[in-house]
Amino acid sequence: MWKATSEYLNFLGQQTAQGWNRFWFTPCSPLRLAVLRVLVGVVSLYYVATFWPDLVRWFGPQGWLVAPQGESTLAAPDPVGQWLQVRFPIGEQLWGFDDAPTGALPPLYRLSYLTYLRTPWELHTAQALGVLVLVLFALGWKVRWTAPAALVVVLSYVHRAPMLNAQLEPVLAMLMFYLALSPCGAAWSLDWWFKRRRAKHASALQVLPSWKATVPMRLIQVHLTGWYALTLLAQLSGGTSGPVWWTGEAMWWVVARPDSTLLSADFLARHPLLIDLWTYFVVVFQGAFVVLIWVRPFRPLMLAGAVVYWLGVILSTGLVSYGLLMLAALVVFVPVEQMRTRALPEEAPTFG
Amino acid sequence: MQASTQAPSPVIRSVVSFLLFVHLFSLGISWLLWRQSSPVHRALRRFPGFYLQVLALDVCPDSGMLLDTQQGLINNPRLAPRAYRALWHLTHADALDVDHFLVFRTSGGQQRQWPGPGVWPDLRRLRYRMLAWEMARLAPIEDADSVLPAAVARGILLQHGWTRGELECRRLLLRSPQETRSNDPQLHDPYHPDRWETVYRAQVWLKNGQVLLRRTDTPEQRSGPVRSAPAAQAPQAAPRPEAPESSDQSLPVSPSE
Repeated sequence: MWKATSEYLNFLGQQTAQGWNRFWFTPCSPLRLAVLRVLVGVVSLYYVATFWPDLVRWFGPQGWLVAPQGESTLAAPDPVGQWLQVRFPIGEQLWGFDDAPTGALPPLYRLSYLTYLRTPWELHTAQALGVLVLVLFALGWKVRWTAPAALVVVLSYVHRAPMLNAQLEPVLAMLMFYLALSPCGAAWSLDWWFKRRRAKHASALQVLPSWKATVPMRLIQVHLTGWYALTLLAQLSGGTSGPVWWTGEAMWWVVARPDSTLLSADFLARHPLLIDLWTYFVVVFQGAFVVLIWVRPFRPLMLAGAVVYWLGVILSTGLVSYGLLMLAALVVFVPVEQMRTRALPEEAPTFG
Repeated sequence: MQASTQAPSPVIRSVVSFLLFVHLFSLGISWLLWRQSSPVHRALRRFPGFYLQVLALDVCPDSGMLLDTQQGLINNPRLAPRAYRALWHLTHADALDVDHFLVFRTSGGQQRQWPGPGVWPDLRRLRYRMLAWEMARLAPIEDADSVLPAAVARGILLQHGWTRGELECRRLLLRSPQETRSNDPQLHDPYHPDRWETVYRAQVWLKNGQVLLRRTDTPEQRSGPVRSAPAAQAPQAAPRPEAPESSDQSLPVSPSE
């Protein structure tokens, strides 16, 4: 009995370790990450550039969200810090500071270089440099350095005014972080193009599979799957108005927001069955994606469903940037063979 | 960057596996145990706090999964907003799942609204809406010296050279399908004046370089339904100790910015 148990546990351990190593360390092509870098770079550039018209209004010396300068008063309030205090009013509950005095702020690590900039000149200079870094990142110049720098730029805007954040920011930060860990400049980049011009032998241009590409790509896949799962659970848990995702009316309340939606609510109001079908499609698809995206035969079906789903989200919510970013992130699930045959020019080197 | 087909050495693989485990464990903790309050859960949450905050991976820690305790949260106004910061869901048809706007009126009759129709592209509009949304989210617990409204009001007054005015956060209630199908223009119009609801309103003025603020909306105005459809149940705001006089001016505004 003991021997059989021991053998089973030994077998289980070996299989688990092999499965873990196979999942995380089997070399794969960095091509998907390179394509994702371009797409995420464009979205991050758009995200930061759209701060420009309101930069001084938000963060300037007379801005709406002025940076803390000494003790916070109504004359010089610290809306970011105090907003966080209201958002996380009890440090003990969130971070476990049992000995914290009542009302004490838990330590916050939302670092942003924008916090230290005051004048419009400083803000505009930092904005220009940030945009430049993101352009270089999207183009793929010195990606080993521009990728972490681009992450710092994006995080600085995310952390500077967290009350302005919506759905886009956490996904963007997540993708930028994983891309900064990856060899995403190995293809579709200026680095690769310069190397191609200098190379005398075609073999020098080959971008080989690497476990360094596998780890961040798997992280993105796992994180995205978790995102879908949490979205599903959040919606099915219901709100104060009742379980609208169970009753089939949820998509109506998404489309009915006149200042957000890109669709005509009048048309949908005349077709309640369409609202029901759309609502249930969202629920079923989110649940199916979490499981079936990992099953190879179902993967194309899930990707096609995701395109329909996210286009629907864009049209119904008006969250164009968020929807496009989530569509771009699906690249990590596209089989690399498909990308090689359809996306690369003929003279491009072969990828492993 | 030239990649390699070589598998990592056992040492590197072990180190990377350990880091992967730490990262995934941190994410799992923040996603699954946010609302749990046992000592073990608190200790687990404390561990990845710094790491996840720096990377902005905890932006939506209070997912909608936690709404099973919503009634309890609503009864405790200090905790209620935490239940709503979640942005995983597309909608719950709740009070905050509608469009919110900021309006500023001067004593001279000028009026500005953010976001107005001239604000584009979508991300800029969204940021103004999120700021108004955040003000609405915190409205039930804002004190007379509300920090966020005071900061916004101060910025508006200083940037436009005004000395006093009225800041208002308002939401646009939604139409039901029946109302949308109706031929009655009042019911059919998504921007009809009756659909605007005041969430927060305060008189603000500058005095000796300081911004002073006096809240003027009534508790009743802070607990309206999300939509005009029947059976809507909006969260009830906590009663305030004092109820200043109301000067309800919920008229449609002419967006100007």
